[in-house]
Amino acid sequence: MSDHTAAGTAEAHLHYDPVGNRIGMWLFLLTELILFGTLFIIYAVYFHRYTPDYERAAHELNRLIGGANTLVLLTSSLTMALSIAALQKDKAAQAIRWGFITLGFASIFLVVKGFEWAHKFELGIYFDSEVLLARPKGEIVFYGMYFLMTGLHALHVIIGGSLIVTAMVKIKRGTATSKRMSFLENTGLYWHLVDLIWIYLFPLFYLIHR
Amino acid sequence: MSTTSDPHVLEHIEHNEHAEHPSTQLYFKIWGALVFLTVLTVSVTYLDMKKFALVTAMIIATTKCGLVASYFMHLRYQARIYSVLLFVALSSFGVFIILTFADMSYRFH
Repeated sequence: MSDHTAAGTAEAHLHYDPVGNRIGMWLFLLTELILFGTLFIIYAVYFHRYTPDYERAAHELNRLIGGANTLVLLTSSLTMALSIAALQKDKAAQAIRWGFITLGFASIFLVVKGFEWAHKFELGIYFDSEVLLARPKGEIVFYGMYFLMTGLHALHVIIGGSLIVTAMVKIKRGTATSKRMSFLENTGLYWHLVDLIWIYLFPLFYLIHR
Repeated sequence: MSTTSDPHVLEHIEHNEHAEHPSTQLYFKIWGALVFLTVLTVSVTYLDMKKFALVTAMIIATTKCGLVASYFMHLRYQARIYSVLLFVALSSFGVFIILTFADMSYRFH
């Protein structure tokens, strides 16, 4: 590293290490994959055991609403990538604009998800509700996994949204620039992970019925 | 471990992270492919695919994830270390799945 000092003395005290930042983020994302992966295994074990119950319960989720929400989240991944691309080209205002569009899609996703949950609550379907407990075992497990996994995913959407807001503030203040991309890039990686998880959640909960 | 503790490894990774990133047009193309696959995966559920329904849905989902990871998450454009890390994690996860289902096949009858 000693041969870098001549060029790097001015910025040396900032301790900015983009490679370390990115590897650290990826390692964290891998732990997230295992977190959701474990839940996917639990889902799969009971799917294997109670296949007809799962399929009946899944039939009650609206695949068109779920599909539309999938499109919303995919589009938010595109706008996130465009925000990063804009900052790389030093177009801060454009990066912020794409960031806010991403937040807009995130909000739409959460509102739709909220309405879906509210509809199930109205039907008396929630954790430990009498209506749900009166149903076959596999359907109880299906809805348990549904609320747990989409709830945990929604929490990730909220965290991702907060990170995007923070990134936008940093761009505005000039602490996130084309020379210091890590925060926005890692926010983007997190956001795409949220998208990846939903790409599996959607077919597993909405599309498995016959 | 001598290779991983060598400070030049990080420099090497940094060196490999060339400025090349997907163009805006490519981002939109990937998005178009993702939209198409989403419409496809919903559409095929209206066919009576029986046992192949779940397999088809998983193949489409995995294709979509591949696109997101390769292009939106830039795996294609960065040093191989990130893909290797992901591969190791997914392989470990695969071991969990295999062991769990091996156990299950003797458990529920």
